Amino acid sequence: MIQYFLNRLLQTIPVLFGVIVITFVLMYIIPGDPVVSMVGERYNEETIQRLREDMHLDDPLFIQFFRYVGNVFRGNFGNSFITGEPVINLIMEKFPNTMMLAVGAMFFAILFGLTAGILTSIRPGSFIDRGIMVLALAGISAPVFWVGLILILVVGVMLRWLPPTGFGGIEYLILPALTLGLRSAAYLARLTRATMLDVMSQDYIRTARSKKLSEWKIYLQHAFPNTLIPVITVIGTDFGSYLSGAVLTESIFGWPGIGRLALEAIMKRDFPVIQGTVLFMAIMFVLMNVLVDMLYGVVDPRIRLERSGK
Amino acid sequence: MIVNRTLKDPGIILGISFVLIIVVLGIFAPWLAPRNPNDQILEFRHKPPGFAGNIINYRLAQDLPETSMALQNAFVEDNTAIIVDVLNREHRILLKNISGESLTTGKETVTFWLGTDQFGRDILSRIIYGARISLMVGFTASLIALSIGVLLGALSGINGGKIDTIIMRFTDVMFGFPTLLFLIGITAALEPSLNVVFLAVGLVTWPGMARLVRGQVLQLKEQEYIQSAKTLGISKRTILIRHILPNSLAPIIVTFTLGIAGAIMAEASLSFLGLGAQPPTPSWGAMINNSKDFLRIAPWSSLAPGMAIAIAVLGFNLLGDSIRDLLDPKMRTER
Repeated sequence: MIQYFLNRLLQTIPVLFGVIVITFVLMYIIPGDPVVSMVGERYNEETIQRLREDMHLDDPLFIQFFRYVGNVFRGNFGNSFITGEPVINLIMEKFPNTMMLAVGAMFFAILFGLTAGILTSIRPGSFIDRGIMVLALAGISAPVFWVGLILILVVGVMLRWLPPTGFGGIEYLILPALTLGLRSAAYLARLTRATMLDVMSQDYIRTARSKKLSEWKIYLQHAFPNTLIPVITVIGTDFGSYLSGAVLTESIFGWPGIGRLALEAIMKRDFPVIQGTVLFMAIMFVLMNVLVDMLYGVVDPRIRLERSGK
Repeated sequence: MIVNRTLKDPGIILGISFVLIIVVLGIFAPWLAPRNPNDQILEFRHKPPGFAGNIINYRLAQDLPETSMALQNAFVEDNTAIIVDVLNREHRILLKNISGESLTTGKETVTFWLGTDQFGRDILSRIIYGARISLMVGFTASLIALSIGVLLGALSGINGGKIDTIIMRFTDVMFGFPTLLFLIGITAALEPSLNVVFLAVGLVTWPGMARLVRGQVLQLKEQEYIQSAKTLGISKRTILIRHILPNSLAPIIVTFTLGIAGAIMAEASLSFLGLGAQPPTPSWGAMINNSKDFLRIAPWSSLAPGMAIAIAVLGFNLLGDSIRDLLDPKMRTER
């Protein structure tokens, strides 16, 4: 078990390193001089030269890179061009909001996804099954930002049940969380259904049936625990990207998370903030994936054995 | 046999129909669209679906103030826009009245089946032209991803060893970024435009294809007929091109088709954020971006393009899923 965890952690080191390289390179392919965009229109040669020296922009590229890596490891992501605030502070200020949204979205995804998946697997091919599966497919194919706008329009503006946009109490969380969780719910429904159908045709279910156990008992006690694997898979594929900033959802609902922070930085061309948020999100994404892989190992001994054996 | 199974599967029929609709709209856009997608009639702003408006075209040989005055005093029924063309330069003025001047080149009644946007542009025509953009992005980006993915995946699988390790580590790093975030990063670093989107989506989505092809190569490499080909002294390259790739075609086609759906969604998302197609390009995502501020007064201008995106993405997703089920019934449908 520990061996498996250690292996998995070691594997992330090159990935994290690559992520840092890419965000560093991203800054260098940006057309234009960062210093010029920092001081804006009213600049003189002297200021620019001073800033270039302050930022060590004239050093060789690899020295700049190592300085960047060093800073990243010390949690120094640079300062915003616009407010001068340290980028890490901006991120830490917004991250709890993103976390809250991500948890809310996952809650809805699991609630609806599992229910739909189990309901459809009881009678495959039935009207309910087909209806829910079509809905699930539509949920996967509809653009997130469009679903969000429809929810704002219908629930927020026409019915006035919930505030359409903004940030505050729990009532502000519901619509964005639903929007963000929809795709995962749809995905989870399909996955749960497939898993349940697969499990229900296994021998041990037939054994349980031949023992005259009630269908409900078979369903809840013997088949249901298997849905844990699709649940973890969905958390694995989607929770990381939620945490790494649900850029679209946050921008539609005016949710003050890191996704919106990044987007605003892009609009203002505030490069250190762009670089910092992108790097932070990517790190969160990678770490989240590792965590989920470890969770697989805990839940399913087969995976653990197979992977640590290599 | 395959035809029989195809006709029985409602998924593939729906998928093929949706894809066909989008492809036909995209290819024949100039003939199918009722109006020029960028033609603005400011008098007809935010008109709801089904709105029928009259357009009277005037052509003046020279700029005569008194004629313009006469036109301005002319009587006009509601729902009428007057387009005055002076010396072939179009001037458009909203007139409340109309005179007896017989300079009209014709009065036409135009129905805006899906309504108009905030510039009085025909939403239906914009959606039809938007199909072109989505298809172009879908195919170009998917082709880029396919080329890079097949090349690197095959290199990795056939050579193994160090090359394999390096390429696979690289794909790991690419997978380390959430796709949309990576795309936002690239498009934000460069000047936003559709060409950047084509390229960025292709450059970001190839790792999936690379992993798939590598897996196929590794699996097929052990097959007896490949082994015997090797024993016969056939070069790695020939084995790859003549024997391995043709046998991996099915999953490659499936991934390619699903990739089109993904690319269409990615372009729509980027354009929605203002990082893709720039105005006045009729991209579906950009259309929603430009009209989302008018959601309360003109919801149709956001709803219709969203529906178009959903249909296109659903179509390619269904098609990909169905091809997979048809070619290999054992492969279970997941995502």
